[in-house]
Amino acid sequence: MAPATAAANSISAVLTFHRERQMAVATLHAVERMRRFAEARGVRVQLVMTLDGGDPETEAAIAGHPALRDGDTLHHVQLSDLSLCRNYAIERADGAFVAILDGDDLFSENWLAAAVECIVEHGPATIAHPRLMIAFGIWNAYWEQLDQTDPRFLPETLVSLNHWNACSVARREVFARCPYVVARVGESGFGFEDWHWNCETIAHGYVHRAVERTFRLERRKAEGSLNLAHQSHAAIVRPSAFFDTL
Amino acid sequence: MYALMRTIYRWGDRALVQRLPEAWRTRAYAVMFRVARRLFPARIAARSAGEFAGGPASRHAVLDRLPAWAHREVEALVALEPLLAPLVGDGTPVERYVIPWDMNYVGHRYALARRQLGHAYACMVFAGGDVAPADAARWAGCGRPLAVIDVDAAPATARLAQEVGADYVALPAGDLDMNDHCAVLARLALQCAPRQLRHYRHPVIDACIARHGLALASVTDVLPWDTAHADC
Repeated sequence: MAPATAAANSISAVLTFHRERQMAVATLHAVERMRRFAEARGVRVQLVMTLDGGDPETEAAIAGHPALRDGDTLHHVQLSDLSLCRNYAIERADGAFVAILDGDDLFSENWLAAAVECIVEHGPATIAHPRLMIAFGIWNAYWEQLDQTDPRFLPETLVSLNHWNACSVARREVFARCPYVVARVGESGFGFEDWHWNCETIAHGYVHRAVERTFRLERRKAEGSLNLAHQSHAAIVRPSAFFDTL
Repeated sequence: MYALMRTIYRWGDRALVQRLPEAWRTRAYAVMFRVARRLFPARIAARSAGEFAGGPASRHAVLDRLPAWAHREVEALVALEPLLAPLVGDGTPVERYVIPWDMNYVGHRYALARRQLGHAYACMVFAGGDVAPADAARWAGCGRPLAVIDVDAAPATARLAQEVGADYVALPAGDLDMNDHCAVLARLALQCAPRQLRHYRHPVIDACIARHGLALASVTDVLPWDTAHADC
């Protein structure tokens, strides 16, 4: 259980690992870079990691990483689901804010600090996302994420488009009120847990904002992508109160 | 006809629309896009008014470089991940992918249909093609409240739904392609979560059940209309 109180400027970085192997090394270095940048601005960062299933190489890459510090935690779980891993880690996080990070991605140095700053500036109902998404690996590309307060944002587009990737920062209570829902696509036909979470949070009155001059680097692989698995199974987003408000 | 309309569009765009203030121009493009998709659903590749106005170049990713601030930051990360090098290499183009933020025609069709439906249906029927007059008695025997979604917008189906006091929604393909049509149909059933979903045989309905049947089965009992269990 999370402690009842948390330092006002503390953030728990939730990192989910599966079988990233050496890719986890680069991710943890990038996270450490963000941590130092945030700490220099008075934001304390704690890592709460899950290893779901996993393999010895991934476990060794994480457990032996020089970026780990006292207070960081690695939880070995057998949940076989990204959503459940995030929820598991969030329940064990003690930061006032929670950041959702994937175990094979990288980020701009300022991401965590700028996200916290954005939430402090705009209020506790804010959910922060990086402005730029940059794909690398088998596809080198970038695109912008839209701010929900931008006049160009049309709510009905969420029926066919997911505007925001899972990479987000919000106050911990946002995730407690709107937990991720299981998305084992082959079993349920449902998928795109981040899309569903975006819809649910909007229905609960939260506002998604894109933080200027921040980015997430998204690793594109030929195989093993959860997003591709969802597409190949013709997955559909779970029912959401948001879709009844249009 | 299509060529003539395209000529008129180009002339109108140059002579009139491009001279409007930006807010008016955006609205004008949205109206033109909706009209064009209605008139020529199979000919309009653009997914949004923005793509329609911008032409083919705006639809696909264009070759570009990262913004300068992002370029500098990625350079600092190359030491951690060598696979990032192509993003900042000299002369290496990076695609700037354009998200069609104004692609609202699917959501618009869904929202219009959703507002005509309620909640807590005992039965929902996906209807299409010719509904036989003999079906009237079976529809009358369905649990209440009853909703009928007609993918062909057939007058006979609408009449029959009215006779038996069912909520009726016409959801013809219009400017939706097969994927979008299936997705809207499935979304309506998922949101309404009727106790039972009965479906006629029809290419769109069959495709919807094939793609989303697993998800639908988690919120409702899905049964083809012509099963032995005739009544809802």
